[in-house]
Amino acid sequence: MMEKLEKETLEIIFFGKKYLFERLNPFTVRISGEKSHSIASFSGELFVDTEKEFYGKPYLIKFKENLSLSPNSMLKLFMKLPLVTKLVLKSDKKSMEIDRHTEHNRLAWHGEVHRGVLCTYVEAEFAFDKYYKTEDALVPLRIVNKSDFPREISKIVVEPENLFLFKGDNGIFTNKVYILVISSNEFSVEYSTKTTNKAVNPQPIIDRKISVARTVLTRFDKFGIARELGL
Amino acid sequence: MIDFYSIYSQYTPMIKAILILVVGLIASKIISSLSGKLVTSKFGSHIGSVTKNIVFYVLVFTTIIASLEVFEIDLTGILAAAGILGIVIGFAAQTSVSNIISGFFLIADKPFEIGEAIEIDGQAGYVLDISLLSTRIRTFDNRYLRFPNSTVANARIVNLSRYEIRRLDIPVGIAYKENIQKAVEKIDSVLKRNENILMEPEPMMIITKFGESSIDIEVRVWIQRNKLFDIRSELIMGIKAAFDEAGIEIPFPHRTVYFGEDKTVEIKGK
Repeated sequence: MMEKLEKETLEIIFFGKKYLFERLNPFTVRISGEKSHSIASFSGELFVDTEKEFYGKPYLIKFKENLSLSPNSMLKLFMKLPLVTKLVLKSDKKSMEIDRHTEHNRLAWHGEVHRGVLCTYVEAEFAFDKYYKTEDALVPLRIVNKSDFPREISKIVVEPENLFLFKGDNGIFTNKVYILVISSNEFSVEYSTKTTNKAVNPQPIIDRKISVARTVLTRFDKFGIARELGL
Repeated sequence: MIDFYSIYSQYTPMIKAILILVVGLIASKIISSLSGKLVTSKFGSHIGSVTKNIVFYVLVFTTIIASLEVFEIDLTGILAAAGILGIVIGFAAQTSVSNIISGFFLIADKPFEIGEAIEIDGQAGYVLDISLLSTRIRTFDNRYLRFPNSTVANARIVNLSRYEIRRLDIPVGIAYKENIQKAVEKIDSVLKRNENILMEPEPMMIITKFGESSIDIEVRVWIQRNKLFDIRSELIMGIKAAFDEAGIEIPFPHRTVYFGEDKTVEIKGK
């Protein structure tokens, strides 16, 4: 959406909210929102743009449909991972966040109540075809069941710090994520350093400079989350 | 001509003593500082600073003893006197000693740390300092409280900051004539709308008992601990509004006063 602040004023609608950028002099810009006004020091050629970013907390992803894996099988699919959209004012040297839009504001706790981690709660959808027009990131998921028994998986935790973000001509993609289902409610997550070959001309938006695949063991224990019935 | 050798011979013990004192004090400072840093890196700044002080004073005491020995002074008498003095001081400063020992236990046991919100015997606030003699807190309404460590060691302590999330329980009563299922659905809709309630662990509702004037329901939700007051207010307001909208009565206790006999009171108006 990049817009250049060429004239004296520029009006932007950001998720239904109106912003007015007003150049007061070569070094100063007034930013007027619906509820607040501020004056920012900025010089040079100025642009108003939107940027994508991962949510700050780990994602606790509950699948909208339960996944059943037959013995010794692998499921390949794309999962939609929501992103934060930021409105930024930037010049060639610096940028400043004006506002951010988050679709998912619910949180969930992963782990035992005295020892766990606060996560962004997401009910994720899968994308099987025509997934290219989406504001979310597409995560190439590879879910592996190496056992001789069928396994079910209903939720996973993905750490954003192990994810890259690439903008392709056909959508936004992350690196591949491998999930190894160990037993009922237990799994491990491994992050690849590559994205899918379906991403056309991917350009990095967020690059963690990770040279080796990272492995994170995450466990869902049915009884790990306390249910303190009447105690 | 000055005879340096005779001067040196005359003042040898004194020079030796001064050297021992200077070297000993420098060594005490360095060793205590290093041990303090080592302990700080493993057990935190508070235990580190206490360890540093203890090591320093023990080394200084040893240095003084060593420098006195140069003069071939018999230290047995001094040490015996010091022992007796120690006992006398011990009796006189029983409370202080008790506080110091309790302070050590508090530091080792770590029921709370500086900056955490705690409750000691019903008084809640942020921990400002844990010294050897006392623990100081700033209450939420901005009062300064000092508890002797012996009191803290024996008190019931609640640490409000230890865990990131906590459970919030809200008791709700509905009239006996009301449909419980409908009331539960209304509460559930309020919980679903509130974005501050954690999705996991999931909220739950328990029908707890047949109360004196109501069917009692307990709403249990998990929240981030720093949002307790906001969420409690939001939920109470939300549940009340939802019940009002659905015409669900929240009863209150009624009391009928019985005078013992059938008596009638005639009220005459003008």
